[in-house]
Amino acid sequence: MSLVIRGDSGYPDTPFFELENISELASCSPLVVENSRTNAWVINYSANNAKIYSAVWTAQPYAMQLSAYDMSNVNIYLGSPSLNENTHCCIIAYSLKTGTDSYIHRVLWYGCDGSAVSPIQKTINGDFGTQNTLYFAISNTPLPSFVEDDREWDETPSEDPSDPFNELAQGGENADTMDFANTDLIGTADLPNPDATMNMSYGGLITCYLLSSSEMQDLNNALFDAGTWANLKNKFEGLSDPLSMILTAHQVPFTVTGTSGQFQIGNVVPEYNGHSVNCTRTATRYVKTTMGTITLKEVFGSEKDYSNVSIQIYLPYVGIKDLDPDIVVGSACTLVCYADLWTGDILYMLHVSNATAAKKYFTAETVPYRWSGNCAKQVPLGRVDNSRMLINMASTIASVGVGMATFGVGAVGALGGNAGATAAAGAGTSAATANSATMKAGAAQAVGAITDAASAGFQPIVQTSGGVNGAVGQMDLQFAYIMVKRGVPVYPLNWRKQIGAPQYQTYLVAGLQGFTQFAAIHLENMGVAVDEEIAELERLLKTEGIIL
Amino acid sequence: MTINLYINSDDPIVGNKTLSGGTAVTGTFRATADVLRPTFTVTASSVPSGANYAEIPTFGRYYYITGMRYVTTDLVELSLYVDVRKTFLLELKVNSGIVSRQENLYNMYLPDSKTPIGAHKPVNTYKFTSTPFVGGTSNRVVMLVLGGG
Repeated sequence: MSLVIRGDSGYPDTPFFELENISELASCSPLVVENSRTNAWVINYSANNAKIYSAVWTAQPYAMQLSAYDMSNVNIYLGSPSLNENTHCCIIAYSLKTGTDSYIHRVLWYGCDGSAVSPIQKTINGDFGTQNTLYFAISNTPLPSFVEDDREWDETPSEDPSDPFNELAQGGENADTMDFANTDLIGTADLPNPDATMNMSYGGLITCYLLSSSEMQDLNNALFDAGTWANLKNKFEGLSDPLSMILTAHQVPFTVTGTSGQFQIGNVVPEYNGHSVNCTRTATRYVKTTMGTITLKEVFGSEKDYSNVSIQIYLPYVGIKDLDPDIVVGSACTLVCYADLWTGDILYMLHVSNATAAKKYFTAETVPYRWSGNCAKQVPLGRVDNSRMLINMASTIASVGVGMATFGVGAVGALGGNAGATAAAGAGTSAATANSATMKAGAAQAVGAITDAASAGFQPIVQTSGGVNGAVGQMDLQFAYIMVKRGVPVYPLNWRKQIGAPQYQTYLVAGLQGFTQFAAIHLENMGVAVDEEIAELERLLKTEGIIL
Repeated sequence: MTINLYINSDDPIVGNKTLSGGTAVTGTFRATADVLRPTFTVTASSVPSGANYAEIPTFGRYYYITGMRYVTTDLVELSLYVDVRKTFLLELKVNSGIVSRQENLYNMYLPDSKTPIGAHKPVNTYKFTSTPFVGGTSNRVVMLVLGGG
């Protein structure tokens, strides 16, 4: 049995008790509210949860502040005194305050032992032992939200120096006494929000533009405009690769908002036919999106929800990842996505909380998972630069022309001048023929020189920026989902009557009904039973069981 | 000595068995009687039809009738074996033990090896309701430049 005690904020010293997984009470009939009493307990046993109320005579249990029933100096919150103690179970909770001392809160349980003594009298007589104590605390502050009972394993060693058990560590001495309430909670409010720090502006040093396809066409035209390059080259001496001023160009599958403005590069406005490129510029770099919350409820309400279960999550641009059922089952899973506009990097965080799930006996809220990916698709940029080609061509021709002058100027002059021609002619045909051959050789050599130069510097330079990548995720689903594969247990009709369900607690046999099987039992006070009968009974209780 | 013969219709593992058709047979043992496994001979006509259970108040025990042999046409020999569950039920109830399986008081979060898992494993998918991704790529190119002004 586990007992949850919640302090009523309005009445911290009058606790509201809530019992979970009450096994001892299941065998007993619920207490009946007597109409004539206003302070009767009502235990509503349903689906392993029972709530104890202070009920009014209308017999409708309401979650109320408990009322006190005075008896001497002890305020007792008790069940109906007319309990049938053979079939009923009783919870007694009382708070004792003496003078200015702190309150002593104690919750006792008492059930079905056939005794005719009033549970109230047993309380007064101090007949209840520690095994009946569910809760004990000294406090005048709001009560803790959870307490466990009978923690025998945290008992400290005895003070007897000859006690052999002191020689060996028994374990549990330094345990944290199942203090599951002592945990830090990481809420969704702890997740960062893109703010001025994350979206820091770099002034005009780096600017982010968003261009549509038509704006890209305008930019393309402007980049080819001679005036644009002239402005850039004039401004940036030695700038041989204007595209290097474009840091990156890519597409991302999410949108951000921005403001309209002129496209500028190096504070130069590219223009085409006198028109600038108008597009959107944005100062936003990081985008946060809460993609929703999925609560993975227990389907079977048993350990089968955690074993034989496979849970996976698909994340766009990341893929499929595994989730631990122990963490996510019975919890609300909130997926948050952070995206970087500049790089396309994506960070997913899965926030898990069971604050609203009733099945776990402690509250946990944390971010146990994070995954990263990238969603950018690079856009290759390029331009053809003929300037270097022209320069190379001029240089080559100039060098070739000098050679031509060396080889054939005289011959040309001889051909072109009358005197020379006459002389040449007068010199005879052999001189002109010799000069023509020389010219031909010189021309061929010049052509060869030009051809050689073309292979070296007569080609345009292609400037590129960016690259090409696959961005495979853009061909996949664009929404996230969780996929759960569960093994389905088979429960035959009335299976608990046949084989019982698992348990591992100590019970008084008188408090049990139905099929029962024991892991361990040592029979005492067995009357006339001989050893053989005792041994057989113990064996049968552990193997075949008994129907009580 | 009186021996009460009954008809028991309950499962043997039931503690407080419901007995019907009680017939008292009186007699004496003619030989040594083992309290745990007594054997006695009675007239056949005194044994009710279907009797499978007995009580010997003198021994303070209940018994299963484990054997019935007809010695003669009129005499039948009954072999008994003590039913420890019903005999010592009251003494048992004041004891405590660690319960491993129970019909009403259970913890379903403990592993249960007696519950088989079917080979069929249904797959459930749960979609997150929102996404920042707008079906492929948006229709804008993100361009980061130096000196944008």
